[in-house]
Amino acid sequence: MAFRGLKYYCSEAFKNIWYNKLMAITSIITVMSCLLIFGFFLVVQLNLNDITKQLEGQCEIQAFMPQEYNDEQAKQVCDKISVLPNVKSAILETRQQAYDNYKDTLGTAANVMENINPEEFLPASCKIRPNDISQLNELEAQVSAIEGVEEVINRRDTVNGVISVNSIIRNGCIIFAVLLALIAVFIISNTIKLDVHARQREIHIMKYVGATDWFIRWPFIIEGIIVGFLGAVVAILITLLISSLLLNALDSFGNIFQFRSSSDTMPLVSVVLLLFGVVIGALGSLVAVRKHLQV
Amino acid sequence: MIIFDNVTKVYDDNKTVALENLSFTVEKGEFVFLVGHSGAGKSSIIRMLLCEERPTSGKVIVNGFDIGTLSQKQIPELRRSLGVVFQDFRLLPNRTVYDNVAFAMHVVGAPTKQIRRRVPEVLSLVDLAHKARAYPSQLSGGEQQRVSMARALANNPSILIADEPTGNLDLKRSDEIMAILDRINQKGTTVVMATHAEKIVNSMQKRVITLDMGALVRDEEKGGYEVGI
Repeated sequence: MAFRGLKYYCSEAFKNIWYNKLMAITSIITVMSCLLIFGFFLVVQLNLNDITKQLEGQCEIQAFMPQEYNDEQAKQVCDKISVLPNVKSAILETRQQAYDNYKDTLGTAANVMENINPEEFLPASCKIRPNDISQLNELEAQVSAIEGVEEVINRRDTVNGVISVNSIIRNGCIIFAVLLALIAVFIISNTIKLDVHARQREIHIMKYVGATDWFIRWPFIIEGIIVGFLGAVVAILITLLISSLLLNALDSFGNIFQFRSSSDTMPLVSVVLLLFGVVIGALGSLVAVRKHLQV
Repeated sequence: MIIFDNVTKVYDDNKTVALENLSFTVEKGEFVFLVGHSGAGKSSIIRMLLCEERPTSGKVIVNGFDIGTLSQKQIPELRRSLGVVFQDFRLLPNRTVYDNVAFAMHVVGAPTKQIRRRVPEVLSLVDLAHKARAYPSQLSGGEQQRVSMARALANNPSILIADEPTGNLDLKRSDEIMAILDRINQKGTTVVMATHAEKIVNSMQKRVITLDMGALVRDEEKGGYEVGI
């Protein structure tokens, strides 16, 4: 397709959109609706991926020692743990540190702790990070077997929960994307079919004066691409707005998890939505024109 | 230029025989009328010239293209060597006279410079240079047909096919159209015109091919309109 041809096809496509404004707006809204749902899922998916990674990073087991263990005894137990295979790090939390950390979490109410003896409040513990999360059960058993370890706790259930929710949403996202793409292609092709039908006479004249099938197709395909592109742009703007509002609202609940900022997610989401919009627009047009070229 | 060699056309749907063992040749620069009653086969010939239909048997050659074996991809090439004028003009209502003519040149990928030069040229040929900016709805039937002729001539076709071009026009407008067709023919373009207009055929004194029930019944060098009862 030479540049001159492209220029002509583009001007024809823009003219068609202008002459059939209502149909074009219908198509743009259709694409926008589909892409908006898809974009929202994409933002959720990206954030869930991050949360899973954060949780995996935070996944540790904590080995508590008897209350009466002093710092020296606790350190000896922690040293034993640190040489076990699959231990990335083993950090000792003394009774005093445990007391201080707990006090910090109370904030302004910390004065209720004033009359409590740190040595009698919380036992010393060893915070263990594994190299491989999948071997967590084995590590837990090995740590429990060490003399001086009274109790072992882990946050594995939470991590597993998030990982399974993440994979459900990821699979759902893929199925949803395919379904939305099919629906969008169907609706766009039907909308453009009305346009093609209305311009059947023009297509006939084009064929009589020697137009090739591609000469007739290109303006419709470009029209579909423009419609898909505009639908995607509107969907991106709305996704940006909604995700910003949502993230602000989530931030106000505290920083349990670090959510991705809109400026972080939107470049990727925008590229995906634009590509998606352009491809379904072009496909919709191709399907619509296919049957009307036999003259 | 145009060869019909023992051509038969049977439509599959109702086994209607539209053309039967039809043979004739049209040389370069000729002006030929196709006459006959409705259903005599005129439209089938026109559709075959445009490769809208293919012969059931026999051979049809147009500008060197064998219509029977022409591939789908070659059809645009054939049609670019032809100009077509229809009874109902077939203009694009939302484009100006200029754009309607230029459109035919865009289709064949003509450069913009050439389009800007050629369109006023053909509009002058049909005496419509002053109406370039008008829309079809602002023109009379005769003027619309002249625009359709300008469009057909835009790409310098070697054959101009006219299917009842005066069918929707009064006698005065019809005479204007025929004068232009004659002028075009004088310049070397072959003209094949299907018509029912007896007066026109009789006054032009050109070659007349008369058809009846798909068969050639008369082929006269300077004939008149005689289709029988």
